[in-house]
Amino acid sequence: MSQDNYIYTIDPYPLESADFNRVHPFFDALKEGRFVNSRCQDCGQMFWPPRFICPNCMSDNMKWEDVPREGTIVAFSVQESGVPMGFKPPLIFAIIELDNGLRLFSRIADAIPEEVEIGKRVRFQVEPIPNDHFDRVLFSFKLA
Amino acid sequence: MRRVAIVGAGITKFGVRQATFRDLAAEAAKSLFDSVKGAVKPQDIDGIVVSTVMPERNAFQSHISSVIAETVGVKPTSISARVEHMCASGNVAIRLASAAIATGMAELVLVLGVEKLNTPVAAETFLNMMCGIDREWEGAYGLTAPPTFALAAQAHMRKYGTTPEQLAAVTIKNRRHAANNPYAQWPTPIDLAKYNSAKPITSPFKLFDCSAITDGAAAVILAPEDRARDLTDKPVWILGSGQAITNFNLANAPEGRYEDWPALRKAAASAYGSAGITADDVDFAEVHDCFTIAEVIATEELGFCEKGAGGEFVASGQSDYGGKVVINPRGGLIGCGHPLGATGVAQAAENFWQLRGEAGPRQVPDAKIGLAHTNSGMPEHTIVIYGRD
Repeated sequence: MSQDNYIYTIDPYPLESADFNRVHPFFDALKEGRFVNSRCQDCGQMFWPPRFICPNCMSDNMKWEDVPREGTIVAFSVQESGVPMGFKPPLIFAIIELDNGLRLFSRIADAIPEEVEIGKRVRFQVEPIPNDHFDRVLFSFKLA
Repeated sequence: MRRVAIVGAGITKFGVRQATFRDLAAEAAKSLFDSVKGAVKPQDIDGIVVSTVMPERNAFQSHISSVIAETVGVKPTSISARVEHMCASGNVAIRLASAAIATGMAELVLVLGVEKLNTPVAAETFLNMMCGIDREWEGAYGLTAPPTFALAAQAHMRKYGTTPEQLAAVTIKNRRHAANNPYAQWPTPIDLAKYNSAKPITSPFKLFDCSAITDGAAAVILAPEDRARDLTDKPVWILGSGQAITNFNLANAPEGRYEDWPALRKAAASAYGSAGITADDVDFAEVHDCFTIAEVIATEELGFCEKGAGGEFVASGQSDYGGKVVINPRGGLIGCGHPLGATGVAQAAENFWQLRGEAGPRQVPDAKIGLAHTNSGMPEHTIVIYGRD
C-alpha cells in the first residue's frame, strides 16, 4: 500500500514531516538520533510537549536545543491487558524527569517489568515505527 | 437569571447493546417522553444539546445534534449543539443547556447523552480511546486511561497507605448498588474473592477496578422555573455547578503529583459556592468511579472526608446507605458501565429520580440534595448540584 491510499486516521501516529507539522524539527532531529525541544527566546521557558508558539507569552521566537538524554523514572505503570490494537503487552508507561528537570511521558522499552522502579536511571532512544508507510519515528527510554 | 429544573428523565439499558449509535438515542428519548406521559412531546422542545465523545471514530458520524434531533423528532428553534469534553461531556452539556435557559436563550431543552463504544473487536475501541488523551504525545505510545489512573492509585497508596482491600470496597459497594438498578450493565454483586481473582490490567488495577466499555444513552428535559411548575409538581432544581482544569498532558500534573487533584477542589468550591451549600448538606453523590481510586480521591476532594482518608471512608461504610453520604446509589460507572457521553446525563437522571423519591429499591431515604461529578482525566472535573423543593 502506498502513501496515496493509506488511511491516515487508521493509526494513532502523528504526521511528522514539514508538509504536515510545525513541530517537525523535533521529529527531524529524532531521525538523526538527537533529542531536542523548543525554548522560548523571549520568556526563556521550555514546555512539554514541544511547541512552536510559546503558551506563556505567545512568542513565536522558539529555538530548538538539545535536551539531556538521561533522566529518572518518577512514576510508571505496567499494562498487561486491554491494550489498543497494534500494541503488544506488557507496555511500561512512565513519567521521566530529564536531568534538566523537564518532565515528560514516554515508554520504557526492552525491560522486564520487575526491573522497573521509581528512581531508576533511564536513557533516551529512538524507536522507528515498524513497517510504517511514512517512515515515522517515536522515542522511548531504556534502563541505564 | 432564571432558575432551571429537570422536568423529565429517561435512560436505556447500559451494556453491550445490539443497537447503533442513533438507535440508542431513540431509546433514551422514548424512555424520557413515555415517562412524562404527554406533558412534553418532542414537538414542544425548542433546543437540543447532545453529549457524546467519539462518534466520529466509533460510529463514523459527526454533525451530531442534527442527526439526533431528527432521530428523536425535535426541530430546534433556540439552540442546537453537540458537547464533547471526554467523560465529563454529559455534565458539561447540562451546564451549558442550563445557562442557555437561565439567560433566556432557550426554553425547553433536551439534553441527550449517547455513546456507542462496542465494536466487533474490543482492541479497536481501545485504539479509538486514544483520541481522548494527548494522542500525538501519549496515545501514539499506546497509552489509554487505565495506566494514567494507575499512577494515582500507586501514589495514593504510597503517600496515604490506601490498601488494595480499600480499593476493592469501592467495587463491592458499587456492584451491590447496581444490583438495584435495572439499567446497569453489571447488576450482580461481587465479593472480595472474585475481585482478587480477576486478571491484572495495569499495575495496581485488576479487571474489577475498571469501568467497562459500554453502550448506552440517557436524556433529560431542562426547563425554566415557570414552565417547570406547569409541567410537573416535583421539579428537580439545578442549584449550582462548577468546572476546573489544571492541565492536559500527564507529564504536567500540578507539582508532579497524581494523588492530589486540585482541579476537583476548585470545581467543588465553585459548585458548593454557587449552590450556597457545603459538602455536609449533600445526601448522595454520583461520583466518577471510572477506576476505584477515582472514587476514593473524589470523596476526599469533594470534602466528604479528610484528604488521604478516602480508602478508610469507603471501607468503613461511610459512603454507603446509613453512612455520611451515599456515594453512587445507581452503581456508579463500575456498576452501570461507562458510555462516555451518556454518563453525566445518567447521573442527572439518577438525581431526578432520587430527589423525587422514585428510585425504588436504591432510594436514598429523604434525599434533599444530590451531586453529580465527572472527571475528564485526573486534572479535569465538572460538578452539578441538584435539589428538590
